[in-house]
Amino acid sequence: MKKFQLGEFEEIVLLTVAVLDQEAYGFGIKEEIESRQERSVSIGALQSALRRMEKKGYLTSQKGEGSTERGGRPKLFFRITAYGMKALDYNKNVRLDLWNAIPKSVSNLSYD
Amino acid sequence: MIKRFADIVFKWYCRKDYYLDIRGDLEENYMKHRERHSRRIADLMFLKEILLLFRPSIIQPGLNFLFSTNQSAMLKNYIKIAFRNLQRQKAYTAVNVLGLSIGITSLFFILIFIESEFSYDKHHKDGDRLYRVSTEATVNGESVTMITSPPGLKGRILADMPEIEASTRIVSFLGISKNIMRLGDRAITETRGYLADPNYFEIFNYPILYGSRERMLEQPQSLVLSKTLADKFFDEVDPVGETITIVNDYGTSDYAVTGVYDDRGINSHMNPAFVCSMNSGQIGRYVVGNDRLVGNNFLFTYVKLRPGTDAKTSSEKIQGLIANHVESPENAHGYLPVTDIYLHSSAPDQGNIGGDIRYIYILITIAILILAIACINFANMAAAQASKRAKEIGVRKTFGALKRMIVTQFLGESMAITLLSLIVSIAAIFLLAPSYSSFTGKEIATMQILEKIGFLVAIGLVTSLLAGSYPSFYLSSLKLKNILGGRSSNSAGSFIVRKVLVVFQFVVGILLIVGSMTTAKQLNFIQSKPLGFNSTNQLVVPLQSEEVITQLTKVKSTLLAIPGVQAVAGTTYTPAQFVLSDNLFRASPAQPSEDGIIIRQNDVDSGLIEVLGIEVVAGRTFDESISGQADRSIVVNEAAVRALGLTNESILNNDIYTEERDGVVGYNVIGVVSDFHSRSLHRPIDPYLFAMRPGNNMSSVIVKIDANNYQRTISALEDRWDSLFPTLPFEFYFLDQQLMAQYESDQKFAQIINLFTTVALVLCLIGIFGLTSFTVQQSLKEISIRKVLGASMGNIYTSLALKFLLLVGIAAVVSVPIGMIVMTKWLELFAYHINLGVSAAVFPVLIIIGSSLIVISYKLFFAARVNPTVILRGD
Repeated sequence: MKKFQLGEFEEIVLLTVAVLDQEAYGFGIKEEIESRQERSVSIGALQSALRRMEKKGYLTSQKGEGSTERGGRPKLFFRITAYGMKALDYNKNVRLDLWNAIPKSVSNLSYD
Repeated sequence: MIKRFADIVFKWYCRKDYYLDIRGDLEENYMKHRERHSRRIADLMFLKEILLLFRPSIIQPGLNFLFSTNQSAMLKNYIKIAFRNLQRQKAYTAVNVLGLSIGITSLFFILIFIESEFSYDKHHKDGDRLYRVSTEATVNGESVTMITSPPGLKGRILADMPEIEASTRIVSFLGISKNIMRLGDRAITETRGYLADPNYFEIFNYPILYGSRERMLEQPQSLVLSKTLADKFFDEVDPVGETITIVNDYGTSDYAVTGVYDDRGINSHMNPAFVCSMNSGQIGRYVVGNDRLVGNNFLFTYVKLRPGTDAKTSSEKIQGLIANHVESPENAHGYLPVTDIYLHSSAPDQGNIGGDIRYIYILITIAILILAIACINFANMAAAQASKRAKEIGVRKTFGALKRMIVTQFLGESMAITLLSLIVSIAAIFLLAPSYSSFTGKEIATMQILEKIGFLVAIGLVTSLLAGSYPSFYLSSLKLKNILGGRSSNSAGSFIVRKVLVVFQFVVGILLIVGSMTTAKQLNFIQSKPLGFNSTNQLVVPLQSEEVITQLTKVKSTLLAIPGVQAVAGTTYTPAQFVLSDNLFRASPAQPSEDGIIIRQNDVDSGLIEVLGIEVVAGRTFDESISGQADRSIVVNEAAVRALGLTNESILNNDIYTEERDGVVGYNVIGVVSDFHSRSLHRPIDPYLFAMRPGNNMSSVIVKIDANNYQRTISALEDRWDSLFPTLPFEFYFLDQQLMAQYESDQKFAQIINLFTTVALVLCLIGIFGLTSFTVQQSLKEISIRKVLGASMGNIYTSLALKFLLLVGIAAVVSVPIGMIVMTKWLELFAYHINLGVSAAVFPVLIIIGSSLIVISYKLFFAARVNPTVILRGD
């Protein structure tokens, strides 16, 4: 039973927001994910994930100051909520359970 | 610019409360790309982000229906089917998209061109109340409209006609003469200079960058520069107060720069490079002290009427008004709206630059025809698909699809094709924009293209509605039992519609070929027609300044000493220039001067007639060794002899008479030369005389050179010139090139016609290809049965080709007479032109027949090789 629905990309985004703490806004999150994961993220995908999770209550947002490199437009900072942390935690535990359930014979497999 | 466009789109679809901060992210992202990439790449990446942002959670709630499942299911199915169909029939899609995009692209460029042609003089404040005063005179029994008027007219009409709010005059530094403008060691040659009354810039609005609009033309010897010209002398600094020396035929004098106006991006029939105050130099002083109301028509008078004045009534009053002050006011005056001058004033002789409204109409017609052909192709081919799509429609109808739904589906499909064509067109427009600019000399900015995108989309929509309506209504009205019963789905009626459409295409094709062949022939005729004088290996060297003109003898002897130079002679007008100087001549002093005929007069050196190689038919030419009244001796052409009502014998060694300042003067005719074309072939040969009066200033020398080593001769000429006049640049033209320049607009016209004829022909062929494919497809069974019964390839080919030849025949009957009438009208613009022969009618038809036969053969070649059993097996 899926209690906290969280896609793979959503999970990455949520984690990154948590990592960035006070500094998590659209472009910053995008840069962070791109530098850590060597994948390119479109603003569309990111923003739609952020808004979706905001609706679900995993995130809250707050308007920040404008800056010159944004042409004076305000940043929208996202912060993870306790509920969002719970979702991450839940997801992590589901995975850990699965990891722990892998039999020795399989987990000993190595490819080098 | 792409970025701006993308932003507008984004702003439109994005949720309002999300826009600002996402836009901020986009900006930051854009700046990051800008660091590493070119602007274009960064713009495109920006566009990509915008496209990827189109998601249910970001778009406005109002647009969400696009993602809703219920309503869109059917839509999705239509789109899926449409794209499957397009994919399955790649040739069909390609041909359609190609045709439509050619049509849309051509239309776009024609429209951009027309738009710019119509933009002339639209910037003046109250431009609808500005008029240029013209003069209607009678010359050699013909009524002639001159765009110039007498110097005293302005003062008179301003005083006597209350409806005239303001008036200003300009004098061109006669378009033919060059002005050398000098500042320090920088010298620039400029032709477009005017003298103007002080209120010039109050009537004609240009943004003033430096100086005072009201006062900058008040003082004598003031000079106002255009921004373009100012930039050549000064680097972005205020030039007011600087002194520029202007050197031209009238002398050398200093002008003080009093202002700069912005001419960039402004189209005007005057198109001045600089404006001097009227009260300057010899001509200026002549104008200021001149109040003649008749004659001396050498300046341009503009009036600004008070609001609500009727221009026609006002202009008709002028002649009567002048009658109060002058005994015989022989000329009437008219007004031409300033906004119409560029396109409607056809006075190229009088130094008028301009477009031609007739060419604009022709271009509009061609644009419409091209789009029409593209639409017809489209409709034809879509209808031709009917047989393939009939089963699908049958199934849809069985499942309860309404006629309306099927119409929507097929309109949607035609829109899909239009959309593809639009994308192709926009790409093509961007690719072709530089060629367009270099061909027309009109810049075309990216922004201008983007501004037109909305318009292109509109064209696309109209196209798809026009082109898609026929097949969609036709297909949706198919009877279910016919379709699924396997009966042929073609009624006779629908086939006739298609035939009419194809005939229309043939008609257009033939018309365009007639047009392009005739223009090509006429231009070829002009280039090869003997002009009555020798124009090859003749150099024209303008005598740019008074300094040179006074030393003419020295110049001539110096140039003649160069090996390779055969002869040198001075002339006031070269054969490529309009002879401004004329006078009324009569055969006997007793005749009244009104009965005289106008003879154009050119003052020349003794050797000029020989240098040009004009044939002498009676008498002799000028000879300096024969002493006597050289200044009263003239050589006339045969047209002058005829116009005076004399013969070569009776005129020789006799006098003809004209009125001069000190009464009637007789000129002794010492020779008659055969008629030569002193004007472009648009015009008949005028009565003409050569004189050798002392004190008349030559404007150029004509240098006859050897055809061999002419480059060495020219560089020797340049060396000598530089040693004689170190401050003046050496300039020269080839006479034959100068002559060809008279036909530049005709040549441009021919090129445009040829280009679009080719486009239209390609479209026609695509159409023929489409229809043949269809016919062949339809007749596959017939062909197979014939083959089974023993018909040869030849028989089948003949029967099919005959069907098409019949259509071409009908088209020929319609189009040939129209083409003949239109082209005869065009040829009448030339006083000397070719006659349209039978070949002008036959060749275009043969070309159309030939090309359609090729297409038919190609199609049939494949159709006839199909094994009959494959086709007949199904029945």
